[in-house]
Amino acid sequence: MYQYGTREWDEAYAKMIEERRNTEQAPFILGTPEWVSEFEKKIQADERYKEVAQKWEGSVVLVFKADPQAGFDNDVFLFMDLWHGECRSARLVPPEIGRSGEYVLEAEYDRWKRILKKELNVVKELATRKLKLVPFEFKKAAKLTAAAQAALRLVDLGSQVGTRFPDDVDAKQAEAFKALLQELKTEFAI
Amino acid sequence: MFGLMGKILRVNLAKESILQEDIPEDMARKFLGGRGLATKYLFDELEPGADPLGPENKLIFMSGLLTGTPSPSASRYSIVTKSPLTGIWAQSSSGGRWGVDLKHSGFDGIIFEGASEKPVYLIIDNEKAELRDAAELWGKNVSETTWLLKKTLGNAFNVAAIGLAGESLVSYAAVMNDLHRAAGRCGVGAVMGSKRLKAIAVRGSKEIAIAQEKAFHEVAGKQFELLNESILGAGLEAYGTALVLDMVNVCGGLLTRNWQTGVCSFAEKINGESLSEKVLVSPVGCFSCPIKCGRNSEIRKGPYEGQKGEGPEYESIGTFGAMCDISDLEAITMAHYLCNDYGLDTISCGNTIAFTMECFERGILTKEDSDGLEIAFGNADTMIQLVHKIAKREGIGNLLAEGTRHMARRLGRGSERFAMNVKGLELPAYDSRGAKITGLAFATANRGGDHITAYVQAPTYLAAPFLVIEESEIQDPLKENPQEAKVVKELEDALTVFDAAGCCKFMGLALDADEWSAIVATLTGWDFGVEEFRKTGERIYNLERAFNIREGITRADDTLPKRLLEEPLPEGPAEGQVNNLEILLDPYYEFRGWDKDTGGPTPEKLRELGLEEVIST
Repeated sequence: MYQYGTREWDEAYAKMIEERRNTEQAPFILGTPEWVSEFEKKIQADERYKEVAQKWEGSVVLVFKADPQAGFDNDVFLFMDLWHGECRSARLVPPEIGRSGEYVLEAEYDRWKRILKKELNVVKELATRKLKLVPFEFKKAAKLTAAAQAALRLVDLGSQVGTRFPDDVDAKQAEAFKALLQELKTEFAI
Repeated sequence: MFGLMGKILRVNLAKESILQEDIPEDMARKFLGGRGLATKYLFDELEPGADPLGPENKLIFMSGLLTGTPSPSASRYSIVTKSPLTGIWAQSSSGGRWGVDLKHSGFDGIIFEGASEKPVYLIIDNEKAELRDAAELWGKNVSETTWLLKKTLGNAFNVAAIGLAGESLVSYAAVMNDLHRAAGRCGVGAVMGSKRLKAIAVRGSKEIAIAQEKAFHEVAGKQFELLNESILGAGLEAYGTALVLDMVNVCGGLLTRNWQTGVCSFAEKINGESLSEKVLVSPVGCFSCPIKCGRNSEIRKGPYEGQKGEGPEYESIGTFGAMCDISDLEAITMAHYLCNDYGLDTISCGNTIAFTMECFERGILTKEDSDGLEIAFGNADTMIQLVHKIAKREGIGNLLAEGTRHMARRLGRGSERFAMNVKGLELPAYDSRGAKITGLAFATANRGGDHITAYVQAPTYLAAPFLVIEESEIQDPLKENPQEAKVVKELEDALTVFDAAGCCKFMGLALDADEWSAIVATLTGWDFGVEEFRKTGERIYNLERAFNIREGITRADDTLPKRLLEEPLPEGPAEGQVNNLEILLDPYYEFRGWDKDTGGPTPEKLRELGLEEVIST
C-alpha cells in the first residue's frame, strides 16, 4: 500500500489516472479518480470561478456517505485544495486526510447526485443542514456563506463534467466500479 | 386576545386628546398586526389626496403580532403613513427593542392625528399615556433627545424620536429608536416632524398572552435550534449585512459612481471583512434575535477617531461608499452615524448625494449652486458636509432634502435619467441590471424603489434561497424569465407577513412557512396554516396597492429609471445588460390577478381576499 503524502503515492495516483483516462469510456463514473481529474481540469480552466472565488482560502472536502446500493461501501472523500480562485489540486484521499480538511461537507450519495444534476440548490442544502459542515464551526460557516457564489460555480462546473452515476450503470460496470473502489482502498488507503 | 394586547391609542395632537380603542379580533385575524393592521387603519381613515405633511395625514405606529414574544427576532414595529417623499403608501419598520416595549406598555399601536401647535412628546407608562411639552427637546438630535428623556423619566423608558432632519421636514427623514435603529424609509420622520411630535417614550411590563404556551415554546425553541446552526445566520453575525457586498460586486451589481458601473474597484476596502477589522467592536442583536447582524462600532483613526455608534449596514456602505465612489470606510461610517443622529434614511441620503455628484460631473450643478462647495465623486469631506447641510436644510442642502425625483424635476437637463428612484423612493444598493428579476421587484414594490419588499436579491446576488416560499430559485439572473415573476409575487406576500408579525425578514431565509404558521397558530390559538399565512400576506399587499391606486398610481408608475432601462452596464459579469422590464410586468400582474392595464387589483381578486369594502373606494 502506498503511503499518502509520499512521492510514491502521488506518482502512483497520477499514473492510475493517466491509464484510466485512456482506457475508461467517457463520460466517467462519479467517484472515480478520472472523474475527479476531469472536475479538477474544469475548475482550473474556469475564469468565472477564479473571479468569484478570488477571496477563498482553504481546502474543501466533499464526503460521499457510504451507500452500498450505489456501490460505495465506505465514505469517499474528495479533497479540493482551493486558494484565491485557483484549484491547486482535486483528488480522492484517505478518510483521515479528508477529515483533516478545513471545510468538510458531508451528505448522502443521492443528495450529491441531485446537487450535481442541479435538481437541488447547494446553498439551500447547506442552509437546511442536509449538506452538513462537519464539525459545525461558526467562523467556517460564515466564510461558506460569503462564498456562496463560488460554491454555486463549483456545482455548475461539476454538472458540466460528463457524468455517469454508479447507481445508473449496468451490472457489469457496477461490479467494475466496486472493484475499483476496493483497489483504491487497498492500494491508496482511500 | 392572544398575541396582541388588543388595544391601540388614538392621539389627536391638535386637540391634545388621547383615547383607547379595542382592536376587533376579526380585524386582527385578517391583518395580524404591524404593517397589516396599520395599513388597514390608514386605508379606512385617510381621505385620498391628503397632504402628507398636513394635519390630515395620520401617522401610525404598530407592533407586530409576534413582537415581544420569545419567538426568533420578534422585535419589530412598523410605521405606516402617507409619504412626503413618494406621495403614496409609506411603511417603514425597525427592530431593536422599542416595539417590544411599546407592546409591553399595554398597546399594540398608536394612531397620531392632527398636528400640535407646539413641540410635544408622548409618554406611555404601563397603560397610562400623556402628552408633554417638548420645547427643551426641539432642536436636538436623536442621541441628545434620548439621553435627556432617559434622564428625566428614567432609564427603563425606551425612546423613539426624530432629529433635526425630521424637524426640518427633510423628505427622507427617519424615526430612530434605541438610539441607532431606524424606521428609515419613505420620510416617516418628516411626517412626525410636521405634527411637532418629537418623541415617544415607552415603558411597560404587561404580559403577552399565549394561547398554547407549551406548544408555542416548543415551536420557538426548535426555530432557535435551526437558526443556531444556520450558515446564513453565521455569515450575518460574523460580517453584518456587509457580508453581501463582495457577493454583489462579483456579480457586477455594486452600483458605483451613481450606478455608472456595477464593478467597484475598491470593494475590499469597504466589505464585511474590512468593516470587522476597522470599526467593529462587537455584534449586536435585536430583541430575541439569535443572529446579531448589527454592528457595535467605533472609528479608530482619522479625523473622526473616537466616534462611536452602531453600523454601518450594507446599504449605508453601498450608498455612501460605492455610489459616491468613496473607499474611506471611516468616512462612510461617520456619514452613517450622522444620519442616525440627525434621523435620516441612509439609502435616500447617500443616493441623493451620489446623484448630486453626477450633476456636478455633468455641469448641471456648479459651485455657484453649492455655496462654493466642490462636490465631486470620491470626495469624502464633501459628502460629510452635505449630510449636515441636508439635515439642516442649509444652502444646497435645502434642495437635496427633497430627494432625487424632486431634484431632477427642478434641475431638468436630462438629469431624470440618472435620478435613481422608483415612485420617488431612492433605490437600494443592488444594480438590477446584474440580476434582472430584482428590477421587477423595484418597479412593483408598494412603497417605491425598495429591496426588502421582495428581497429577491437573496436568490440572485446572494445565491441564498428563501425557504419561506416553496420555490425561490432564479435560473439565470441575467435573463428575464416571465415564469420567475411568480417568485417576486410570492416573496412580496410572504415578507409582508413578516412585517405584520414584527419579525426580521432574514428569518425567512432559514425557516419555512410551516414553521412560521405554527408559531402564529400556537400564539393565537387560531387555525392558522400555510395557506392562511400566504393568503394573509396577499390580502395586506393588495390593500396597500389599492391605497396607491386610490392615490393615482397606475401601471405607468411601475417602472425604473432610464439608466437601468437604456444604459448597458459598461463592464464586469453583467456587461451590456439593461432591464427589459416589460417582459416581466405582464406575467407579474397575471400571477397577482391584477388588471394589466391599470396595474391594480381586480374586484374578483379583492373579493377573493375578503377585501369587498375596498371595491367601492
